[in-house]
Amino acid sequence: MNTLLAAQALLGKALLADPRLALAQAAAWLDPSNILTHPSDSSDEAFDEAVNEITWALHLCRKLFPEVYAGASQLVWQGANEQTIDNFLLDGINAHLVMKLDALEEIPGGVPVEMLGVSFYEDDFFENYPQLVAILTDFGIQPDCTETDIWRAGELANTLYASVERQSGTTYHHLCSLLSWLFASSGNTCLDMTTEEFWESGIALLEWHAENVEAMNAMATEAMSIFDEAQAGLQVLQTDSELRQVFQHNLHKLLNASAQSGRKKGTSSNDRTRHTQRFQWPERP
Amino acid sequence: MLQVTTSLELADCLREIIPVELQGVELLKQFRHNTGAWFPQVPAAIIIEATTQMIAYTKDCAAAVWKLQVLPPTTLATLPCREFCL
Repeated sequence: MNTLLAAQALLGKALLADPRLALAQAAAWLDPSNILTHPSDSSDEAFDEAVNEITWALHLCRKLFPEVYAGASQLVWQGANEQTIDNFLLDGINAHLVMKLDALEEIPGGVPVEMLGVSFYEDDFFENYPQLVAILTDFGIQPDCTETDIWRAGELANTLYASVERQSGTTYHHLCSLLSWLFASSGNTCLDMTTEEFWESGIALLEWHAENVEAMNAMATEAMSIFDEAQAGLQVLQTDSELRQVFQHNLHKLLNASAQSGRKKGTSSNDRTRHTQRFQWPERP
Repeated sequence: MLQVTTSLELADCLREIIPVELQGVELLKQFRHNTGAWFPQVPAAIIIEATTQMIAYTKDCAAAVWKLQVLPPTTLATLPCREFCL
């Protein structure tokens, strides 16, 4: 062993003999981002715009996803390039999220969210969703429809939902999900709003706390599950002609009842709901 | 509740505290001696465990510092402290 290496070995041993220096080395090895970029006058929650997204990600992982932080810290020590560390952090964080980040620079915005809802008011809606045109036409929603038409269709959908919900079987459950998705009545923000509506509403993304990530994941899982069921419901209406006919028939009966109630004073939506109790639906699995 | 009446008792009490055994420090001691590497290459699971412990220890220390900062002053009427008498 040459003198230089011997000196290094001696110093290395001496550094570990002192408890405080040993602790400092362990911290530098395992928790470097805490000592390198942790200004004493700022809280853990703040995302300083002056630092880059890898630093944000390291602090986030240190707080919420320690195994990702540990792996990324070791990559830093091994001299991995920025892109490798970036990819590692992004994949590691996304492994904990149901709705994913597209890039680390999105971290300061909050826990990511994806909107799955539809809005009939959107430009080119009917061009973007050709598969929905036939079903929506049953409800009186067409490209030239008015706001009142849409409101009335929503009322009809809610009443029809009450009847479909009473039927047993997965098929009808999927039809309920389809109505919830189409008419934004699921109660799940991710499913009831479009991306544009969400940003215009002023709702802020959730801050990065463990309980918020858990809540967002639960909401996203529910939304994606209802969305998948809605697509299954849509497919049923497109392929099961008998069910489709009954669906249209019941909807027409409801439309007629609605028209009559509009002419007759004192007829409420409760009356229409009662009316749906006489609706017939075919047996389905 | 800690019951000490003299500074000597307090010193004894603090001396009895068992040192924290940090896995990171142990790994450094063990592997630097054996391999000579400054920071050892160990399996990911061990690194994660040691890192998690280190983060928790840092948080505990920060919490302890904060608690000490906000400790209310206590009058020690019976504490002999002649060197500071007026």
